[in-house]
Amino acid sequence: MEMINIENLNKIYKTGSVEVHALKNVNIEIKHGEFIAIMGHSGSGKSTLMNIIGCLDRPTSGKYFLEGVEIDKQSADELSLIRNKKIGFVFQSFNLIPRTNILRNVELPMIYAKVSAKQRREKALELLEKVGLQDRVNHLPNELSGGQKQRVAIARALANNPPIILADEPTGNLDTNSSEEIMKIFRKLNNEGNSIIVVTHEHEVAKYADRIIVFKDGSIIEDRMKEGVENYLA
Amino acid sequence: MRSLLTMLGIIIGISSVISIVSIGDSMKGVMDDLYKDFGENRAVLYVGNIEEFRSTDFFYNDDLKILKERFNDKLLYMCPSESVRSDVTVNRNTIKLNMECIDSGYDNVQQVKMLYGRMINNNDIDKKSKVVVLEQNAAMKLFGKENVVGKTIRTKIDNNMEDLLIVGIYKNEQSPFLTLMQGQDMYEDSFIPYTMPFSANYGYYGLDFFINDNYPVSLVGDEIVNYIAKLKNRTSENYIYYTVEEEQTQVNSIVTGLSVAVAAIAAISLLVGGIGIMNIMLVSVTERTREIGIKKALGARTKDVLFQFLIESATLSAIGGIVGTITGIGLVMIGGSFISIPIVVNPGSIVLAVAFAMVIGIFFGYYPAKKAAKSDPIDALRYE
Repeated sequence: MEMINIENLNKIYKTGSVEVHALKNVNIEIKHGEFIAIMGHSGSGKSTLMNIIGCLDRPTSGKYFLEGVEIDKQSADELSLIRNKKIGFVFQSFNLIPRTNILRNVELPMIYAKVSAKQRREKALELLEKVGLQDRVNHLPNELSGGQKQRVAIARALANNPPIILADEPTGNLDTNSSEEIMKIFRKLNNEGNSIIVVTHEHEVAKYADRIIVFKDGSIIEDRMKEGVENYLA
Repeated sequence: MRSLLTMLGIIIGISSVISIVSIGDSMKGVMDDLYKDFGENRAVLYVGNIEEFRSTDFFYNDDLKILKERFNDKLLYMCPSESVRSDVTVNRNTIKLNMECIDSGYDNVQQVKMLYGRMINNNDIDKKSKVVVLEQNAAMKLFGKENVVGKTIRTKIDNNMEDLLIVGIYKNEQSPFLTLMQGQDMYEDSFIPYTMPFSANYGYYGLDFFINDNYPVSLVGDEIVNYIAKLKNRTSENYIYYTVEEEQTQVNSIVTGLSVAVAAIAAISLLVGGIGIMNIMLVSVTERTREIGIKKALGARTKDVLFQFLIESATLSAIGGIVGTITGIGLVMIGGSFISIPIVVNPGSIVLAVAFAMVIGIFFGYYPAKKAAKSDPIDALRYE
């Protein structure tokens, strides 16, 4: 079974009388364990696709299967549950909860998944150690550097062991060194078996991925594997 | 700081409700004390509602004897309700003296604190002794000292000047507040035997009863009225029977009604406080749109967000309620200590006030919380 299967997907935004065709007949298959970079200029439709894959938005037409489940008619709360279990988000602007220490931030998805307090804490500490922040657990987000914040966000994304990590311009607010650091973490996570989708417009970032999908005006104009990768996955 | 200002409305509302309710309760307490002083099982019977009086309508010593026998087990004490007022002068000190006519045994039904000497006894009643028991203030004003047992005072009784032997001194025990309520009447207090001032065939206008606690005061009263009416060949409407109990119930219900009414007006300020909470919660929801978006993206369901904000506003108002309760009680305590009355704070009203504050918080927090819960995660995440 494919992890993600997108068939003839269209997304049309209506603002007043103006219609914006953000995605046009998109078809994508993504397997477990892939590391994909989705590229394109702003307005190319890559963020719209990201929102749909992340179950934050619904397609106008076409089909989207996530681990065999068609994401279409679910209620807002059902989508919340799917996001909680299946998707780990990493955002450009980190999106940590302010005035809440980073341990609590990492625990948050597990609270909604109703994991017991003890297990939550153990798991959160384990994940923070994995991203090298074990000595910062009681710090508040605004006491951390950009790179550190993004590492917290990655730890949070991993909290419920979701099949996909969805990163939307994860290095957009970071300097070169931190960007490299974050991408190395993604690389490492992918080597450990996590599926990762990164939306970016930077080639420096995209080079870490095994597969690159390029969008332009709502359509895929390029979808290629790095050399040797296909064999490795097969 | 902002939360404090938000809570202020609730604090003021709750503290005024709490203080008004406990002022009401304290007033009731004071009134109860007043009635206890007068005697809760006390009743008076007097002649009234008669167009043309006959001499037989009044109460005579023979009637007293018959009533005493007839209602022996139900009456603790019975005495004509009469008093004599006169000026008394000793060594150029003149006071106005109120001489309450009592039977022996008065000190069994009413608390009388004797300082010196003795109370009016059976012998005084039988022999119509010319004796008096003075209140300590009267003694002080006349003689300049308290212990004046054995001395005599000259006073006018039934148009005759009489010398009364002082056989006892007692002390009026009343809180200053009660004295204030009853008013200062210039007269000093004293007791004399009821048989002494009046001739044997004197017709008394009213009778004073203390009813045995085992019997309901009003029922015994009805019995007595009916009996008297039959005895006097009148109807029961011709006699007025008046119990402290009835009066007390009446006054209590007035005080309760009044304090409930005023508390209800004060509760309007709670409404204002609730609107304040709603206002601040709306601001808070807008400010935290992004936070809500993040939480929703991470898997928070509608009800998770709803509860988060409801709990927040309920906490805000509950804290306001608690602070308001403390403030209210504090205010009443300070007020009460100035006029030296005992303060009654009903624990039930505290629980009710805090619970009510929480309900207000939940009620006025619901709309903002619903608004937060319903927000679309994409819009919320995009919000800067």
